[in-house]
Amino acid sequence: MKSVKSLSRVVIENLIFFIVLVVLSFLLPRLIPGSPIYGLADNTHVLNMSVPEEVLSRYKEYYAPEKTLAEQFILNVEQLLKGNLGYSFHFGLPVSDIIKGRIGWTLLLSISAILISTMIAVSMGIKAAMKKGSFMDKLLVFLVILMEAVPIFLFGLLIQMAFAYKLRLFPAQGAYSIGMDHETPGFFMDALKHSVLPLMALTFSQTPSFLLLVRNTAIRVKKEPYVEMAVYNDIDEKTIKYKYIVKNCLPELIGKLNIHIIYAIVGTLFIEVIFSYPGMGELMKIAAGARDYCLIQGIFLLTGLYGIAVNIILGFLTNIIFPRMRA
Amino acid sequence: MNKAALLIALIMLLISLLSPYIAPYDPEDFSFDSLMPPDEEHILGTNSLGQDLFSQLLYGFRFSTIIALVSAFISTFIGTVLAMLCSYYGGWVEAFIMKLTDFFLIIPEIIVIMLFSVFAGPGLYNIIAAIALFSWSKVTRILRTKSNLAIKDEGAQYTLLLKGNLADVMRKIWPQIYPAAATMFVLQCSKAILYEANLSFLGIGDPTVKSWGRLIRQAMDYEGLFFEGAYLWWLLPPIACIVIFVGAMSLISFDMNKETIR
Repeated sequence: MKSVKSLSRVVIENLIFFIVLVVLSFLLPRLIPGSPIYGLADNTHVLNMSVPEEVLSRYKEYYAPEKTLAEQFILNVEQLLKGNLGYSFHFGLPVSDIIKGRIGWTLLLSISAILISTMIAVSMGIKAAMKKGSFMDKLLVFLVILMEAVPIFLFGLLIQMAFAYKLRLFPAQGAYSIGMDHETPGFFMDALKHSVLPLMALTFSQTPSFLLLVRNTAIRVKKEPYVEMAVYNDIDEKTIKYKYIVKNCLPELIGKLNIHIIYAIVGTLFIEVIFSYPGMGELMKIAAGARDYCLIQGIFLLTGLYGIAVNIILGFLTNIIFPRMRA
Repeated sequence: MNKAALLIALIMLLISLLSPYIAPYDPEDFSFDSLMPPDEEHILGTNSLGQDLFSQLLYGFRFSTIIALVSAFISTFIGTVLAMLCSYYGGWVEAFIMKLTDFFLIIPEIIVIMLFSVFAGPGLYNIIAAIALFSWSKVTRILRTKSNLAIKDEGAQYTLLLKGNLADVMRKIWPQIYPAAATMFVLQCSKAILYEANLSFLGIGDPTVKSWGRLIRQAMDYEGLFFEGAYLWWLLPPIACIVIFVGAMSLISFDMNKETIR
């Protein structure tokens, strides 16, 4: 009974977030003074190139600037329910199609980076916590703090320079070789080879803060009476490490993972641009550069939806795994 | 540690104030040879348009610090006021404001900032507004606990008892949460610099606002950046400036942290 109550609470909370998201994506572009939505009818020259009549009429149909705000909102919600995110005039394609083609690449990159950095952070963080105060631990903490201050694009640039331009071990740009057939088995290897460097940069930037969190949480858990009791009872170290310590660090770890996964779409921005990776980050850059309004709104909505979905799933997970975390 | 970071921050501020006087050339002047490596006349060489990179970097100090300071001030102000409203009204007002801060935990701030600044169009004020309006959530989340404690204090409670209005209570709470607010301001500064770099990197914002982020973007747009070694004096200096600025800010806040946010 209690679990059903707290699960439904998670759903209701996220429903509110969803409504706020839709309202924000509707109102923000319309309330900003001098918004281009209202000026578009007079200004057909976007980026010094005239927009074809057909695109403009689709655009007007979607935003309907001549109607009242309430009517526009109803129209907007109707379109969203149909899955219509508008029409990109830069690509000349529906926004949803463009995003569909790209989101996979980004998720592939960021989810594998999260998996790798989680494995590194947990194994090394626990090790450092067990030997707290040793030389290795101090060195690790120092390196981690140093790495935390380095912005992600510096990692990307340095890795690209070293491994792609100087050593020529891996390709520097793209997600696959141009002209590669998507059906052949060689394509998989090719894509894998292309993803090594961006993956490396992402992992480098995500691991430090995660490692520090694991270490500090594990040190706190290590002082709990049940762990000390286990040590006195001569339970072997492996069991203590994984059954007693890691398991009780999980709430913090899931909290951190939540943030990482939510930033999975936006966080790859710099890396994708540096490595010309055809994902959402690069799309964002193109959309912003071309002032492709529908596309930017679409990306915003989708990132928000994705964040809410992640929030629901992880909320459920925490509820099921840790009954004591229930609000 | 603290003093060194403070000194670095002061020097950076001084450079940004004095940049028109110490810059050897006009940053927009493109009459020099293009892509010159560093020498005595051009300390950091020139870019592909033939502009002096050292002067551009110095002017970059100006734009970046203005954006950082002003937007951090506004966002800290918004965040602090909302936190105080939370503890004064409590109830549904507090619940509503806290839900709003939760919203920004789920929707990355940068994407809201991006949406706003694309539709707002170019301009220094629009960049500042975009960053300031959507990055206050963390300030509120941290300061609310502080002001909830402060309002239980005798001074604030007497004011409430004497039917003091919102402004009176705020005046009583402020001295208690001021140290935490100052720490948050420093943290907001480094956040604002990074958000601005993100926006410039995406090409949003004003092309005439030559901040560090814009310099990075210009360097990245040049095709032969890595083949001719130009990245050493074109790309790395603005990145180094951002790293030093953010590093100094986090060191300062780290030391302030010890006494305030616990």
